[in-house]
Amino acid sequence: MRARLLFPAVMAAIFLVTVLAVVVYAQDGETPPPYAGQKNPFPWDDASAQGAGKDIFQRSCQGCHGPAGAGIAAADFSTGDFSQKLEAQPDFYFWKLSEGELSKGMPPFKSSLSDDERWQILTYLRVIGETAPPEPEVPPAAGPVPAGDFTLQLLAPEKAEAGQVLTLSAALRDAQNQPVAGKLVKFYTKADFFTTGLMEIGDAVTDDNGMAVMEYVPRQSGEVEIRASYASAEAAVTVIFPEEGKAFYHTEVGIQFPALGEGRFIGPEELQLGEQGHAPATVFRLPSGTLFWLAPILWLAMTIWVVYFYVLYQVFRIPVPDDTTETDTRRIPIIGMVFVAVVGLVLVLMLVTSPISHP
Amino acid sequence: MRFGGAENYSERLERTVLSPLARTSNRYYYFLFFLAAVVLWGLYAFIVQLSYGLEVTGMRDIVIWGLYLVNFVFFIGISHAGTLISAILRVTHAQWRTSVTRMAELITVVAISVGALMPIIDLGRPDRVWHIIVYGRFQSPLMWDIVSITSYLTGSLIYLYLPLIPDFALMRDRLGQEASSLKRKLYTFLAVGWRNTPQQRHRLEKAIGIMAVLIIPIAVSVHTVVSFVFSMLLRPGWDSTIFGIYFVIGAIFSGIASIIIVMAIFRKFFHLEEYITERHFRNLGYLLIVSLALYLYLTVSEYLTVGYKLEVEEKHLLEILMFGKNALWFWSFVVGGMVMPAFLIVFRKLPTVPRLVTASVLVNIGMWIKRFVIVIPTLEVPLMPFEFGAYHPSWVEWSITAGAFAAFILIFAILAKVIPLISIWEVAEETGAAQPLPEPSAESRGVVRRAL
Repeated sequence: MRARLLFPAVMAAIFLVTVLAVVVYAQDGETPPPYAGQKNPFPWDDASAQGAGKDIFQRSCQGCHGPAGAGIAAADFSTGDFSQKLEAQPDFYFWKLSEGELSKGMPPFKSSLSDDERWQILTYLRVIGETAPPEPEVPPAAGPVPAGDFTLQLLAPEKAEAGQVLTLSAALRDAQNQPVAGKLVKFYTKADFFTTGLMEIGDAVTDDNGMAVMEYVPRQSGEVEIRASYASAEAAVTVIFPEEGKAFYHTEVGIQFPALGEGRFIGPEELQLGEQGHAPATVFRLPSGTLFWLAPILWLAMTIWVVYFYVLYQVFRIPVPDDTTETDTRRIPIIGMVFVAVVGLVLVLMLVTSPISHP
Repeated sequence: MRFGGAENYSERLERTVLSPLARTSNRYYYFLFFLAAVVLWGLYAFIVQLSYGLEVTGMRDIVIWGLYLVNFVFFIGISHAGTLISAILRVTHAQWRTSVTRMAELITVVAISVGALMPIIDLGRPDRVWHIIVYGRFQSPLMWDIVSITSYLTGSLIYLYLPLIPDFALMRDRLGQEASSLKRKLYTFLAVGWRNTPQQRHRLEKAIGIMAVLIIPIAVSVHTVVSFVFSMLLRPGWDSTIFGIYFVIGAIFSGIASIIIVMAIFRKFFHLEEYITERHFRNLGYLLIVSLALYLYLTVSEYLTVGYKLEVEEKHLLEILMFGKNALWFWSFVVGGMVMPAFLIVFRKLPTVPRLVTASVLVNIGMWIKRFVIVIPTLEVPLMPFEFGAYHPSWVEWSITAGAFAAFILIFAILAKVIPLISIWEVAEETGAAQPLPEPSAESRGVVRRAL
């Protein structure tokens, strides 16, 4: 009985250790791979990268971080101290920018911005304290709407691209103009179905600064009215989505399966779909780490051929009586074993090399 | 029962089963000659296709698959006869199986060999078939086809060979000096020094036991993967989650029908009435009606769900299937392949064997048509605002199809002269007549030699 329990116990232990290792690995404070050790591909003083970064910053970051990067005290980009830290540890900030930290309100940008765009933002952040205009810009098209005890102010870029992440932030203040934390602000957009009406697109809770931040991927074009509301306080802003035949829907391909090790990907990582496009991005991601979703099938295919070999080995081991004077009777099982070994190896090699046979 | 009743059961069994291996009539050679001619004609058609390209087929840019794929699915389907059914019966210790399994396993090996050629013939450049090994992609279900069909073919060969070892040994011992030295040498090699000692039996039974269990999931996987070639495409009629089990059940259905046909043929020509009895036909008839009912159920649920949702392309598909240009194919499958066989199996007015054989022939024709109905009409439905596609098989495709069927029968007929079609040692064991097969005495050697 004990021996029978031993195998499941060992398997369970291996499983637990693996899970623990993955969890510990994932929670480590150090910059994790693949970000660890990454360097800024742009020189820190590259003016064009800074310019590009500024554009993206104003579109995607300014809503929370403010035009001078000082909007959030815990992440103040405008100090010289920050510039030094950024230069010393670019991979850490690239990681935070890519993966975000949703518990603190920072969304991940790796799916909405390319690697280069994210580096351009960081390049700009290094000099934001020197170059940003000292006085905060007046947020576009968003006037405070007084209503009862609260005022709500909605911040959104004037122009945005359909299919890209649009960051909406609403600032909630009370009658004394103090930020109100912990309130649920709802966001709406004007939408046409059978009639024109407000469609809820999401909600967010205000933080200590009274800011409620929501990410939204718009699929409309033209001028779109976006509203935020809390109690009777309301704010509205109009965002323009230039119609340039751009894809409305920008999706990541496949499902992120957990894999130990770096994933590998074949084909475009993102699909852009037009207005009529309903071609789904169904292709599973194909991570080629040590643990990936195809591995069990691969093991199964290997097991089958190993068993074939074992069965033929049983035939090979059929004892030959001493009195036999026949020629070598084991030729057939030997041929069979060689065949099984060769074909099995070719099949397994075919499966293993599949992800890398397409450059 | 033989002259003076000296011959016991196992001797008679050996004589009956082994005699076709030694005696061959002229009619048999004429038959082989005819089959070889058809195969050669198919080969000629293939050479025509190779030299002029796929232009000589009816396949075009819209309907990209034709008879070759139909044959592929059909042959892979009847290959389930064998291995799956014989393995299931073996694992469940169904005693009556022993005189059926060998033929079933033989069908598997031959059908899968012929069927696996079909996708290669379907290629415009068959010389590039190795590309799938060198540049195979996970995204293509065809790669899994290669893996599972190769595994299934190898497994079936091993599974056919293992229970043959004692029979090969028997033939090695019984075929006297008159047999050609080539034949003797062959059987000696194939028998791997089998003397039926307990140690040898232990090894062999272990090996057979492993294979019988392993071959079942492999067989299921093969037809599932074949169905994935269709169901992983967004096309009306293919875009279905039940295709895996639908194909597997369809394969078992046509596989059982194939066994019944093959059994009836060899029972008559090889005089095996004593070992393949009406009971075997009746039992297989039960399996046939069960798989028919399952297949009917799956067919109904397949079209019913499509009919309720009725996307625009699916509406087109159902129209051309049921009332349009494919209606003749579709309804001959429904009536000829399901309704009529069901009546023949259920109502037992007519004599058992001809009744079940007729049903089986109908089932196999119906299932070939069903595969046509799965492959072709779907491709004819336009997914973009174009005209409907059309497909008319050319003489090249019909010739290659005829050649493939002839090759199937030809290989089977030749193997039937080399391999005993009934597992002698297992039948002997089942009837309890056989103690471990005795070393042939001088007398019995003479008896068998005379018989041969």
